[in-house]
Amino acid sequence: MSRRAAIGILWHAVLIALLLAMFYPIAFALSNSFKSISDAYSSVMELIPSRPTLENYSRVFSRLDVWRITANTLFIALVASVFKVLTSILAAYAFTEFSFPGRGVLYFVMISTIFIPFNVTMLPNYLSITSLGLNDTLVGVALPQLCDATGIFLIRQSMRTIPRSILEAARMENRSSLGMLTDIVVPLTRPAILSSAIIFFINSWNEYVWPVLMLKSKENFTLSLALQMYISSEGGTEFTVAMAVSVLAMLVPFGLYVMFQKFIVSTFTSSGVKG
Amino acid sequence: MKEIVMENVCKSYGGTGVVSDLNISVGSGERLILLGPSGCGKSTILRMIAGLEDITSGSLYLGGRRVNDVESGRRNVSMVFQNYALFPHMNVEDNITYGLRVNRIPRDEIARRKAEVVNMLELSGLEGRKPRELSGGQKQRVALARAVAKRSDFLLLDEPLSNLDAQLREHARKELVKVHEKSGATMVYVTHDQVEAMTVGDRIALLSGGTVQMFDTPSNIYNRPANVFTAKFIGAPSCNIAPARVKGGRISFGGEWFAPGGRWREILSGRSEVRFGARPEHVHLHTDARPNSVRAVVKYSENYGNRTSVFTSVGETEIAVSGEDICFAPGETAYLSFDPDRIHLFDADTEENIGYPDDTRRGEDDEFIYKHNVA
Amino acid sequence: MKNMNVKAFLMLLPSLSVFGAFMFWPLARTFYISFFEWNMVSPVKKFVGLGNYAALLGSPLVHRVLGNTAAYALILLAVNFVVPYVLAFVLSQVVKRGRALYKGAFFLPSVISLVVGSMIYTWILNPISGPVAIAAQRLGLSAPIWSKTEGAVIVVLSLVTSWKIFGYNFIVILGGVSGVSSEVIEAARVDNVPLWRIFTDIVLPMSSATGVYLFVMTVVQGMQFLFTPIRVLTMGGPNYASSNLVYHSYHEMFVVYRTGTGSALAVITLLGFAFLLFLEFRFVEGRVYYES
Repeated sequence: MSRRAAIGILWHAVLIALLLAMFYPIAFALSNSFKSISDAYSSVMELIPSRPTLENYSRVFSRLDVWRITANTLFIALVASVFKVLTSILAAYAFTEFSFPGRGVLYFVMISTIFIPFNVTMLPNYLSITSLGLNDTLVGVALPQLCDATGIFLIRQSMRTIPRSILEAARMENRSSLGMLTDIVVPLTRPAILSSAIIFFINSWNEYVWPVLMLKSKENFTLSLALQMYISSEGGTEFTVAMAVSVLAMLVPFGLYVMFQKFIVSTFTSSGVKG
Repeated sequence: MKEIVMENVCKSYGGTGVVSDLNISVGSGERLILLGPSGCGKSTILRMIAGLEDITSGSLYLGGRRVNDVESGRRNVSMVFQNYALFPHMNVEDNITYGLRVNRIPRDEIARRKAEVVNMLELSGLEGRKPRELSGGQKQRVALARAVAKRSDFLLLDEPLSNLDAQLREHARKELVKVHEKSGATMVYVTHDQVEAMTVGDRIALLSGGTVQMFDTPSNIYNRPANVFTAKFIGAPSCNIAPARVKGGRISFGGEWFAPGGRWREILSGRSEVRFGARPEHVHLHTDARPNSVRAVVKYSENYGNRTSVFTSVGETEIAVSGEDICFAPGETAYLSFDPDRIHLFDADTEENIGYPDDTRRGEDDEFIYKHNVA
Repeated sequence: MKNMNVKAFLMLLPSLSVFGAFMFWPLARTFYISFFEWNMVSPVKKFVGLGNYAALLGSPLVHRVLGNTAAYALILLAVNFVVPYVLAFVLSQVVKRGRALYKGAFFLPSVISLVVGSMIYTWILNPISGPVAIAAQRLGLSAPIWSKTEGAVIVVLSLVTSWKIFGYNFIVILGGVSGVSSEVIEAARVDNVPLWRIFTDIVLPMSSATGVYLFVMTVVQGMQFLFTPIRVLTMGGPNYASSNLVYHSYHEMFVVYRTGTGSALAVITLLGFAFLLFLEFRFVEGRVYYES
């Protein structure tokens, strides 16, 4: 065997080991969620449960209003991702198709919001939402999340790859700017729009910081908040139930990722190149 | 009423002039070629007509209407782009009918026009394909079909054949002329290719540095170039141009003298210097001295199969000769003679053509003004 | 053209108003609050000028938090910047097979909630019944109670956060590294340049735009991502040993209701990030960037 082939195999081994380490927590949660609590304690290392059971899941459903919690999470995630995509498309289009005074500066300012940490805005946003009377409501959670600089950036990057002449050809047909956006620009930037939407949805689904500040009453809880109840120190005996809740919380992002993996990965691959 | 008139049109980007003081009028149904090297402003002019670029100053009239401030979509123009600009997510049929649908043309009318252009441009069977499934030639035909289906009064083409290979180009060129004749629109066609310009155009506006060098019929542009730039740009191999001295009706370059004779005596009187021009295909090559011939030494020759180019030097001046059956070896002495009617003399400073011995030869093209020949 | 400006403005209006109301206005307000002493509910705010900042900079507790923040940054960068960079190079030059598979798989944990991650990791690292503890026991070692051990707590929380960041960073940097012209690398190979020098002399400088961006983002995002495991698992403890700047400002604002100092800490965080951003621009100067 040549030296190069040996090095190749070595690196594959490293990569696969890393991959296994990264997948282990998922496998761990999955397998223990199907074990009875006593089995889990006696054979925690066992990745395939010897006596699989659904009791943890039925306990979750009997103890938590899973449907309500899921509906809350879904509502916020849908509102946030739909609005983020819409506002991003419009803004990206304005920055691509029109030249107006101050365009460069404005774009820079809007994109710079990527670098603003949430602790800078959370207190005043908390105060604003409270003064609007939206504290402890789902709308209050969604409201500050209706726009996202990442979306503007990703979608604009994609819009910029459309040859100018294609837009000019549409303009010569007497098509309005908004008409061109719907007929030409959006269909041609679908991958970027779709992957932004998925990422926004997943992020909002997983969001913890802002909902934990906003939501107090249990009937408004999202999945992340419900999950948190099982982490506290006294949650110790509930180990397998906690794993079942984890699996349930992972399910949706997981499924979306598997479905749209190609779009998402390629959008991020090309996004990083330009920052 | 399909004329295009440009009056003192200027275009500049932030103080840099791209097109200056353009005055061109194109007749109804005519084919105008905007020809010139890259960066000469020809595409900018086309884009100003299309409404894709603002006009800095001057007036543009389409069909008698001043359209400077009219939006592109309301100018009744259609355009074929260099890269075709087909909508990648629409199939051929949707590409062709998009503009018609947007402009709310009745459905049966759309169907009729689509059938017509599909037939005209031999696109049948391709209607359902996406642009990426088409060959270069097919894309070009779809782009043309889309423009023609619009039935606008003005058809603009921006180097429409430059992305095709040589064989296809010739076919596409002929097809394009046929399609235009059926449509009856006034056509403006941008190219840097002189063969396209000569074969497609009714008239050619030759541009350089944002100004018109000559605006005339292909035949006049070739036979009676208005200036040195025009003479050299048109024709391959390129026209011989040599600085020459003048004395008593005789011309000298490379230390050799000859008398063009006839009315040239009159035209040359009072001048001591000119630029002498003769197209390689109009220079005669002899093995022995003739009256009024100049002596040259053959440097090398290139065989193109159907013709041969022989490069000679007359003293320090290089003169190319091209013809069908000429056969000279490097180092041989040869004698060059010039047909007085087929030489061009230009002012040494302005490089403008100073005239022809026989002005009646222009008869066939007289309806056009020989604008730029300022002697 | 005026018409065009109006259209552009109308299209920007939705994003501008959201950003204005929930990004720029709060930013200014936090800045303002940082000059006051205020417990969030009292109707009076007491103006203290730069007092909050002075108090923070003199506080040993804040020094500790700053130290933790630096430690977090170092660990996060080592795990999520250096390692992915090298692996991306390996995948683009040494082993080319399976690239798409690795990309897709490494990214997967990035879509999982940090709360879920925190939860799973606490159980994996449970000092009595967790698999790590059991494995250590079998080897005759004892696993420390990480959540009570200074130092270890930072390592574990960084690990949980890295689980989230690693995959994203990996595909971004892989994009940058693959963007390096293969002809340049082949030219170096023909000249018998060793692989590691190809990495340091060619790939690193040629992918530096992506690299610097990712460096900054790893710190900026990482500090914010850390908030969740800190809040969920340790609440900054033991004895502030796991608190970072972002968490500590939250702690000041929403736990002990010192909104002035909390805001001042937030402003300090922002200034730190702005400094990183400034460095980024210096480094990638002359390259195609946000505005080309």
